[in-house]
Amino acid sequence: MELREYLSNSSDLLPASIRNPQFEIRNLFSNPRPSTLDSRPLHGFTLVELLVVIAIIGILVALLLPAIQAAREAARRSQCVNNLKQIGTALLNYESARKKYPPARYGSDGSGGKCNPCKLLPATVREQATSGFVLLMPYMEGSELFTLAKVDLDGLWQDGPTYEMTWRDADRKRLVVLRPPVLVCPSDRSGPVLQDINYEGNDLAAEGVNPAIGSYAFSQGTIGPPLTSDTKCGNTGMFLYCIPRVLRQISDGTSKTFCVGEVVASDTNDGVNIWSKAVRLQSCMRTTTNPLNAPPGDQTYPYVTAGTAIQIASFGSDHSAGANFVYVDGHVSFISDNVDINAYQAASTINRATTKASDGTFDVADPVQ
Amino acid sequence: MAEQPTTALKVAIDMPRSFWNSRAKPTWARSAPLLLTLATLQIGCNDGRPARVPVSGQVLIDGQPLTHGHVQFVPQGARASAGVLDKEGRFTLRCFDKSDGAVRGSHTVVISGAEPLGSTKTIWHAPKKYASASTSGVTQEINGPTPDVVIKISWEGGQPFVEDGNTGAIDMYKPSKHRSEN
Repeated sequence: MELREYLSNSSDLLPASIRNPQFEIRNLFSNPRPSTLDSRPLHGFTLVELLVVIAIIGILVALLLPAIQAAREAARRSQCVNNLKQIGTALLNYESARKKYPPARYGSDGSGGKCNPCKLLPATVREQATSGFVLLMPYMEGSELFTLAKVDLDGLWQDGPTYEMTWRDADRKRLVVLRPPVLVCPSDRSGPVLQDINYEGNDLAAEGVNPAIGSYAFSQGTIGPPLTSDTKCGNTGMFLYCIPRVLRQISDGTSKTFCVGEVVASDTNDGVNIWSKAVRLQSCMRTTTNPLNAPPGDQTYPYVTAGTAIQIASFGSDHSAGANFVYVDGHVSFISDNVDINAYQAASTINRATTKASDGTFDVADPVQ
Repeated sequence: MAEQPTTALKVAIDMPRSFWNSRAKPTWARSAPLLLTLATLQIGCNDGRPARVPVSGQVLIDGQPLTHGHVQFVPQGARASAGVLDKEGRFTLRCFDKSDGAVRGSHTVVISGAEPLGSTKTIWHAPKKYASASTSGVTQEINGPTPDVVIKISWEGGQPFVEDGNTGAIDMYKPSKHRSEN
């Protein structure tokens, strides 16, 4: 008996498709066509079912994503707080070792007025723009970076004509392109170097050296912009050109005065923040004249210029609605954009009542290292 | 009689379609759900910032518009607002966002009539005392949207000068001399 005959005569226990005269053996191994009895295919989902599943997964992911992003930002912010804590501790260690704080800028630029004491510094020091962060490096496990700067032998970013060329040796060029991780906030959207290598303040542009930028700057106080002679050595905050502060000058209290805060757009000409170079109202030196998170380059605010750049010297961050600051006592606080402008400015001054610059504690026979 | 339920069902099925048919409905009714959604979003998007009211105005020095510099409105207990002066001395304040004004209340007005001259000098078109909140002495109440603030200040016998940002040296402002320097 042929297989086909046998199957068609066999019992009802066999599936309908097999009893069908049109049956072929290969139907056993492939997806049979829908019969009139059973209109749905035996395997697979319909399009609607798939779409529903995809939609549900989509909704779940959409619910989850903001939470993941928030957790990621919280992690970045805590890394930033950690960086500032390190800087605050380094400042305290520096003070503990030397009984004074570092200046924001090791030298000055030949300015007179309240910067007159700087003229008493050794010639190799007095016109260099080495930032306080370079001076802090030995207290942040960065001694080798500090050694490269050779601050008492020309140092970095010499302003005056005497050492303008001699400081540009291989060691210093290597140093200014390095970017210590402790000076970089993970939320900061700025790139690692200046976008415009030909920025007016980059004295190394002609040699193809593009200096690294950082996310943090010293607090100068409340004076400037606009540019006045008081912005350098006559300011009201913790950090000046060449003149170090001492602890007893901080009569507002060490927990009420901040040292270092965050800045944004540090790789643009408007918000430039070269970590190794200190310039009043620009790199590494900011004021509280303009509100927190006022955007660099906005002419609505008082500003200073460098070439075509509009520099408003505000603090700010890429965290949401505020920025982190480290205080003299070493604690780190997040200050909100909504902060009372008077309280914000008071926190940047060392002595809200008299706001005087220097009381003659400057000691020229006291090199940094 | 058997037709009736079928017809009723048909109407029921067709109704939503006619409900959303654009030609069958007035415009306001069609945009109502959209407006409702936007209104809900608006309430949901409150950013926790204090309320601001639009503020703009003009600064006059000895009756003439102050044509360079900035104003800053410093309130008590809130974020300050700033504005840049145009060629007619007019300004529009910014607090958090472009042209969003200032918070209500009493403000100390800081007027810095400063114009950067290169990267080291500043031309002062108004006395320097107005450029600090502690010495300005100008106050302004903001009780609601204010499009016409007029701030009057005076040289009191002084005149525009140029300050050297490096040395602090003061020089009388002569447009012919200082403009040609830059």
